[in-house]
Amino acid sequence: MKKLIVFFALVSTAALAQESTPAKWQGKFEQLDQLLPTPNEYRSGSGAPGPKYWQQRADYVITAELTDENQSITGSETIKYYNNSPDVLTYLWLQVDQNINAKDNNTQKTKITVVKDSVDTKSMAQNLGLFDFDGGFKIKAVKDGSGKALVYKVNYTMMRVDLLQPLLPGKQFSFSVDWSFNINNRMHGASRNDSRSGLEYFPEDGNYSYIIAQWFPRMCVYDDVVGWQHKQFLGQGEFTLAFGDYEVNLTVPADHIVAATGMIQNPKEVLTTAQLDRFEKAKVSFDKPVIIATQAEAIQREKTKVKEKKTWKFKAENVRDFAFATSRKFIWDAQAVKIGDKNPLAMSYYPKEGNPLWEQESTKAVRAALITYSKYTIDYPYPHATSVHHASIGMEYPMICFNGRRPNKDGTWSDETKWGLVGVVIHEVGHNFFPMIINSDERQWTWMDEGVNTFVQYRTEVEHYPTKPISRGPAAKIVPYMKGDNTTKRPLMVNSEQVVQFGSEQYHKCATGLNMLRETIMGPELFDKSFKEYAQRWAFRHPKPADLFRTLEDASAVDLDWFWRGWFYTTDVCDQSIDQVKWFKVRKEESTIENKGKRVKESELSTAKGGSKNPNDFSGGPEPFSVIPTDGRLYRDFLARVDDKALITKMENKNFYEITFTNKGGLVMPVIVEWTFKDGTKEIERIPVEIWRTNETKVTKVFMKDKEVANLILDPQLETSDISISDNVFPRPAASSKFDELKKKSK
Amino acid sequence: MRYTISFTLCILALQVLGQEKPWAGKFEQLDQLLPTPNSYRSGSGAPGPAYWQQQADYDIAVEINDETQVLAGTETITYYNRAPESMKYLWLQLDQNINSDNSMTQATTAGAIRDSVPAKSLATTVGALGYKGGFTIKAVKDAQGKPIPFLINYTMMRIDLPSILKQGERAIFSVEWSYNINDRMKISDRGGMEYFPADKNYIYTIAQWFPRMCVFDDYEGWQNKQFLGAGEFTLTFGNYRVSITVPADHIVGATGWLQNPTEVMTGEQMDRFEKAQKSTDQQVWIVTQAEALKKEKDRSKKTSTWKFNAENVRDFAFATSRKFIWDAQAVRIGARTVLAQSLYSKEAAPLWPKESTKAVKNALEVYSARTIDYPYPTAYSVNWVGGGMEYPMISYNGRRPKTDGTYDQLTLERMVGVIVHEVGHNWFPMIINSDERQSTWMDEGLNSFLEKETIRERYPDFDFESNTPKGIVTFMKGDKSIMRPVIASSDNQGDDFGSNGYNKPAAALTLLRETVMGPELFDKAFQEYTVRWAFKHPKPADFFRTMEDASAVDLDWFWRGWFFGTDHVDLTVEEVKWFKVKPTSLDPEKKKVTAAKGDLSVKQGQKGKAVDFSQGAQELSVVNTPGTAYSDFLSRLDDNAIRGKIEGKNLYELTLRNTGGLVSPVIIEWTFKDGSREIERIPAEIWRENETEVKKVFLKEKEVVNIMIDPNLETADIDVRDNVFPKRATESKFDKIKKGKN
Repeated sequence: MKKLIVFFALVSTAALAQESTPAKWQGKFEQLDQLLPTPNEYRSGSGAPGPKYWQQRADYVITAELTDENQSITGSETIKYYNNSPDVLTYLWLQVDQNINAKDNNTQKTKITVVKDSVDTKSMAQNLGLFDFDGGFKIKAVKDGSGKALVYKVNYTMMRVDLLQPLLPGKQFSFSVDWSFNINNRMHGASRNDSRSGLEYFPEDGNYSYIIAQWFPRMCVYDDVVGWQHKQFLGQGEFTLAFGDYEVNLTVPADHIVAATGMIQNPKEVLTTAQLDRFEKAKVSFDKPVIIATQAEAIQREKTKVKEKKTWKFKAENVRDFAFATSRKFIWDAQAVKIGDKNPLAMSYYPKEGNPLWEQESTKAVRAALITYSKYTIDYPYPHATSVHHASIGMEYPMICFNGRRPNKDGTWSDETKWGLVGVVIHEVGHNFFPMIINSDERQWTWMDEGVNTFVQYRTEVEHYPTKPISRGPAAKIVPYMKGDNTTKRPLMVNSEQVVQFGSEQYHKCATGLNMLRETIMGPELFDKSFKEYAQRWAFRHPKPADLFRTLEDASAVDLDWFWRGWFYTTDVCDQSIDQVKWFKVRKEESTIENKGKRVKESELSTAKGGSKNPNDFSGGPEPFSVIPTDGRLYRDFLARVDDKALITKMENKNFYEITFTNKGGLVMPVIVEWTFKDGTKEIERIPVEIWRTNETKVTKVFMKDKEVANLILDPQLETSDISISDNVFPRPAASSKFDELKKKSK
Repeated sequence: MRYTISFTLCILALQVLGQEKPWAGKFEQLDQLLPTPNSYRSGSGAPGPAYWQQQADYDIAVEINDETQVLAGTETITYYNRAPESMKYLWLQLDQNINSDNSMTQATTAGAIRDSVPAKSLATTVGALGYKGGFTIKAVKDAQGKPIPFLINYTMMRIDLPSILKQGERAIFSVEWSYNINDRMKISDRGGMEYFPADKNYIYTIAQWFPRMCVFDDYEGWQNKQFLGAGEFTLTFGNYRVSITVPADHIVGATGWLQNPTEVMTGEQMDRFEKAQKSTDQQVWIVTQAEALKKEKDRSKKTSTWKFNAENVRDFAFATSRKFIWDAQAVRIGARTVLAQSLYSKEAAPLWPKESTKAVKNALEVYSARTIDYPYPTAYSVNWVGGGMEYPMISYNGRRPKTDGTYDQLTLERMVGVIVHEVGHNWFPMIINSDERQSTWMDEGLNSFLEKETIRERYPDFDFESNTPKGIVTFMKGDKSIMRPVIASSDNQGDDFGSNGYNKPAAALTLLRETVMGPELFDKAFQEYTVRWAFKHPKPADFFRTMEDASAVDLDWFWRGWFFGTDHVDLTVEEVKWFKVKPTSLDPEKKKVTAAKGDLSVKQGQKGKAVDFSQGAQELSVVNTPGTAYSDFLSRLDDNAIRGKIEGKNLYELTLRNTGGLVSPVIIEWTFKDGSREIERIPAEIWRENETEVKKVFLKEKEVVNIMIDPNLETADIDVRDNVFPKRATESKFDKIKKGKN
């Protein structure tokens, strides 16, 4: 197009003078471009996996025994590693996560500690590493398929295995590892740097409940973006894992009930006939759970404590990890849930200490999560989803998760406890989707599973538990954090280990962001379609942040680069304000064709500017201004003319409001204005965020209204996380400020 | 190299001085400022081995109702998926929705009230003009006529395909739509109509008139960024078959070649049309003014259908009116002839008959020489009101004479300028098909540069300064805190749109051609870019890389400064020292006598900085080379011979400051006592170690009376007053006197 000022004049501000308020331009609407990796054949510009997308695979056959007497695990695994990459590999990396609990661990060494008075013994022991626990893997052997020893080197929580021959693209390599480790006592809490798994001891009956995870040397992910993801496990950034099939044989005390990733292969060998019958019944019970192992049976087992052992055999397909729980204390219930053409089981395992809360709420919450998550993402693909009770925890694995919250000793519980349980079960079951299926890199990006998951958790709670108090989701809930201490704030786009306000940012802020996208910026239809697209594209694959960012735009035609830039790459906050409101009406006597030549002096109008009688409310009445017939020069070469008289008639009784909005917080957001008219009616006007695209800090806009406005409010429904709403109102609430003054005086 | 130090200590070499400003890496390679080259786009700037692009063919039937000014159409789109991935959904552009009631552009446009506002302006601001715009989508159907679900998001429409579209497959679907054509007098869109109250007829200049495929590419996926008004169009190539039904007395000009001339033209017009296609020396009138005037009065109620085919174009536009006068002539381009055509109403005569087709011809010839031969069969210039707007093979251009038929030079220059510019757009972006929604400069900037080249070559007496370094100085002086870089997104440019989209990149390319690279290297590289990316979709990096790749001129500093930054050029002559070498004959034996270290500067310090040459030259001793300077070398220089070469000559030590920040070649004009002049051109790399201040010593036979940096205003130096030595004191004295009187 040929640049001609006239063109823009008409599309934009016409002949109206735009107040120029220069403020530093920061490119808030610039495309992310090189902030994201350049798309290539592995990852497309659309956000989809590219034509040459590849990922590695690792199949595991594991045999392990848990010794209840000394609370240890001894195992042996055979890993079949598939090199689907286009690269030749000369070494493999495995994760030996238990080493975070070894005597020599970097987490303890790099933990920041201070001395304070009256510190309790447990905290002191934790800070100084005083618990006498011999943690960490003991690697006994690493051998290739023919039994030949392989050279390996352990680097804290990572183990490198040198291959005897380079592993070519398209080839597989099988090798085995023998190991053992002592199971940590989770009651010691953070003394052990990872209490995502471990044992709980019940002094009253002298039994243990075990939740076992990160318990076998697991393959690191090798991918197109980072090569080997073998960043050390320091405790905060979780796990990055490859998909594969698992065959796991677990030998435990014969009176234990075992819950695990995958389906039980030998139920007849490990269950009683009665339990078997109930299990079959549960598989077709869609309306309520069936109790497979009863509380009475559990209490009986607690007492008898058999010494014999049994082996439970599990198989799991296309999972990224394997965890299990085992105890003679377990009660077990299950029911079927209809998800598309599949009927996965929702199951719960808990000791009597969890009842009666657990039998009422756990499986129900599992079911709710499966239904809602399947709706927003993909149908739940695994045969079961299991919630296991352990003290003070919420931790996720494929098909199985460990959840806290327990009733009081007398069997009663508070609402807080119940909602806490429901929330944690939904969240951890939800992790089956993020990151177990949409398999992001947890070691690097916590928000990609925790934040995204917290968002769908919120949707689940809204849809299944409308009375549940909501803590994370709506924009207003994030305001205290956004207002808070800037020194410890980090953008979402930082590595997990560097995050200080972990929950507020990686969980809460990310979830709020997605909710704002859904409710305010994109609308549910566009958001849901593109969010589901992301889930479908990346199910059983390894997405990166750019894949999410790009997909949400690609499928919706909503340019969100400004949003990712502001909400994910910075710590800017939203703080909009109504800076100035001017009310105008057309001066009638001036606006006739006859009075064409008579112009009102600028000074007459400027009484309203700044030095107006009442710049803070409407009491000064409207400022008159003149609308004059359109000057011939404005038509350039056009010979046709608008009907000035008709236009003026159309506008002469209207109210014109010239509003100046400022963006004090830095974060650009849509401008949502609620007009309340003199007659009490209201109108909400939603202006897309693009209003800030040429002036990122201050904009002035003219609105024409039939009725007189009594007041206006910015963001009336608290959708934008505006941290200060007192300046969102006009007229400014004088009453409240007087009230504030009084309050101050009374102090 | 190990012995760097002995080189830098050498008296004549550059002295690294204390830099007050931190090192900004102005000469660093762009690296991660550009996307990483890959199999789709090579590091050389050429399309990569796995480069791919989509294709969309259109079969369209459209009718304009002259009574209601409604356009209604049906299109069948055949979309070829050449991407190495499967597609579930397609995106189409519904540009007319920028005029809908819920227009995002209207909602996000700022404005303020001022007094005595013209009614039309106020009505535009508050959306009170009463025009019902936007597409009405009546149906989207698959090849079997089954409805396909679609979703409209402002100016974008998503179609969910009935089945996955795999690589190498094609999807066929149809869309049925209509919209009210906007009156461009009120709603000045890139297309629309103009009403002529005197004869009650319309001229329709139609564009963005059918739902068009978005581009899906390797860099963006779908380019479905909303149309807000500033960022133009991003379109895919394809073949078009379009039937246009209009009143029978209309003349239609369009993208493509007319397929049924015998059905829509009179025998006489047919003859003239045939004649025009062979007339390379002069225009032939196919419809005369007299004929057009008659039709204006008769106003036929019948309709006829014009059929056009266009191959490998990225868009289709057409203009239709009974008011059109029509002339054409053939232009030789390589081995082919192209028909240059013009359509205009009597209101544009006599300016248009004289200048329009001629300007089309000039553009076709110069652009073909500088890029690739014009590949299409025709190029139309259609008269309208306003600036100009481009489509493949057709453009709409403003400027008319006064009602009495007279016109001034400015009108002529603007009209020729706009026609050259819009015809030029056939290359940028119609053929070298860049992403206009994102990067305005890639089409407007490159095109403005060649527009200027065309004017300079064919209309040398016209003013074309705005697209030169000299012309951009005013903009470059602007407030840097709010200034956007050229590379910023089209829609974010705000007030900088014109300068950053058009003039600054054009000025930068001019600077590249004339000063940095030289015409030969520049023209070769620029042409290489067009050859590589003709009928493809280039991105900024492809241009940057090709210009370097084909020329061996490292331009990363230039792109960084001119395209990614907002710095300006402002060089300052900080200090000039004049030396003469003491004749050795005075003291041939005293080998060891040297000026004490610091001796010179003390002298200089006593007198202060010289403001002119009146203090005369300082004396300088040149001593014999000490043995240590030879390291292990055993042979020796002839000290006296070297001294003899410089003895009695003038040495000038210039201190130059880069006040503006943007590094620039240094062009020095020396004026000697005898009135002769010499221009010395130093590449920008002089700033590579010290980006702020450099010193350099020059040896001159003759005495210098005046030194001037950038004497021909090639570098966009925003303040040339400090480019001169001796400083021009007269002016400031005069100023002082003036002040004193006041």
